[in-house]
Amino acid sequence: MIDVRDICKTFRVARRDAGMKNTLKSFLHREYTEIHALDHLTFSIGAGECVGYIGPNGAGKSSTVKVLSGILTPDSGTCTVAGRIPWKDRRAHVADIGVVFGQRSQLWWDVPVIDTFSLLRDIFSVPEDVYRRNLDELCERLDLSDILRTPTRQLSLGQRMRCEIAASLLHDPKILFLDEPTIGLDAVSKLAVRDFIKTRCRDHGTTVILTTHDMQDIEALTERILLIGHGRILRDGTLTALKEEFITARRMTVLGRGFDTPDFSSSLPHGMHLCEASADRAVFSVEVGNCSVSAAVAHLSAHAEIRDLTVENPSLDQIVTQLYEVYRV
Amino acid sequence: MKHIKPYLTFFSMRIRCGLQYRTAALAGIATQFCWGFMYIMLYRAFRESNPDAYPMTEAETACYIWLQQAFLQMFASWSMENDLIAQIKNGTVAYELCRPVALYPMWFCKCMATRVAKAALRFLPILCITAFLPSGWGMTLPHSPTAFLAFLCSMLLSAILMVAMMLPAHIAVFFLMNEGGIRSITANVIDFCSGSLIPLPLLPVWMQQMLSFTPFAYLQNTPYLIYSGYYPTEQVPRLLLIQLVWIAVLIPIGVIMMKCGLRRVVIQGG
Repeated sequence: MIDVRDICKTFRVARRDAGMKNTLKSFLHREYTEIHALDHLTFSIGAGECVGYIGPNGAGKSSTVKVLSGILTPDSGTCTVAGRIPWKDRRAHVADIGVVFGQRSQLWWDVPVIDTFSLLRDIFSVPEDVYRRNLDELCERLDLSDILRTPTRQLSLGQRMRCEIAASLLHDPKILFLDEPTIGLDAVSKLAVRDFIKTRCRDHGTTVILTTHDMQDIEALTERILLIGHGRILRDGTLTALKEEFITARRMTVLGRGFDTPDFSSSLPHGMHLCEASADRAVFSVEVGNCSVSAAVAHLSAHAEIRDLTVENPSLDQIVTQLYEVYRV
Repeated sequence: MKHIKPYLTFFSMRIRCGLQYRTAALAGIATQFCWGFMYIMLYRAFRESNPDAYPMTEAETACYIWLQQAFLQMFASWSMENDLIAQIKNGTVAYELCRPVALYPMWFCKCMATRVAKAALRFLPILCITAFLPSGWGMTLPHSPTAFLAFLCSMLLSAILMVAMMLPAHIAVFFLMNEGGIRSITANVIDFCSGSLIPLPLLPVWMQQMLSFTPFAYLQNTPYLIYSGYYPTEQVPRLLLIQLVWIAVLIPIGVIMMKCGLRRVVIQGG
């Protein structure tokens, strides 16, 4: 469905040092730094896949989405989306895609949402029966019936985002680009949006590319993730594989008694380390592969008194931070 | 027809948007009355001081002034589409590019619709009320039925010409990143050269001749002078033709500027 090969895009950014002297100097001579926003970017995505596209700020996420949606023309490289080169035939291409930029709005500020929808219907030449069907379905799934007749300016952020997503799907796009769709939303709206995207992907076979900083989005929606940094794909794989590789230790928090005896800490099994301890609380790190959770618990119950015990895996956020460190992005 | 439909829907939606602002229209009408009277008194004073040097009749002047006040918003040189400019500056223009429509006609519709909606709310009350004023102070009937017909055609062309002239000023923001400068330049140049500040017949002859080689003289000036009969009917076909020619020149300029602008646009942030 999407095939990207060796895409490069370089931006020139004017730079100067602080101060009056340098300001005047930059009048005559400007120094530019070249930023390689995309640097031989290569990946492909199959039809119906839901892919999480992650990377730190400035890694090239939005630039990629812009190239794929035909807004930005790359300097070199090839790319086909649904069989077309996006920037060559923009108008035919955009009929196949839906785009939601979480930080920008496509709804008309002053008029009821339904007016924007009918405008989009005419813009995309959606036949009336298809439009009706899609609108009914989207209203039901996203719970829009009560807010359709409200002007956009009076909607809450969560309501607006639901309308934005509906607006981008009225013309049955084959591919949906979601650029930080849950940014700034409360828990309830986030869940509603995620749930909707998931069912949409499943029922309509829509290919979804999701860029986000919210790891819960990724966890809830995608199995495959693409990590981008310095304009290159650093890692392309499943979330499970990523977790297996990066979860090297679990954290075990125990409430009880008897953790502060010297005897206790010296007799810990191999692979189990005491991170912090007080009279009634201790935190251990248990290395995956070297020490099983049951062995750790057996040791604890033999040498101390346990009142409460929790075992946690590192969160996806931590894994991703680690991932960024490994790839130095 | 299928290709035009999006633009028509957009146009009508924009008009509906514009028709919401009733209070602004009322305030506008009140202001326009004051300005209208002020101008008429001013030009009457000029005329009384030296009637031989004054090129228009009192009725022609009054007609010009009231038409100008009635359709002020149609030819408002200072009024730019702030949301288009904001779109260019903050990058929402990206959304517009994600739609299967051409941007120039879309923006053309938007500008035109705003102007039509604003003018539609204001012109009737002004023209109706001033029609009851004594001769030399108020609106008069058109010079002849032919003149009226010609006036309507010319108004339509002037409106199109006006938008075609204003759009490059908007598109220039792609290159300038800020609209402040271009806004004051367009406003002042168009105001003076199109007869919006001083009716063109009152300018020195050499200046009128110079302006007749520019598109500015064919904005509001042309239909208003056709209405009152200052431009005789024989001249009308030539005037309409020149209007058409300028439209045919300015629209491609805008389209090309838009192409270049979009090519270099780097949608900022996000």
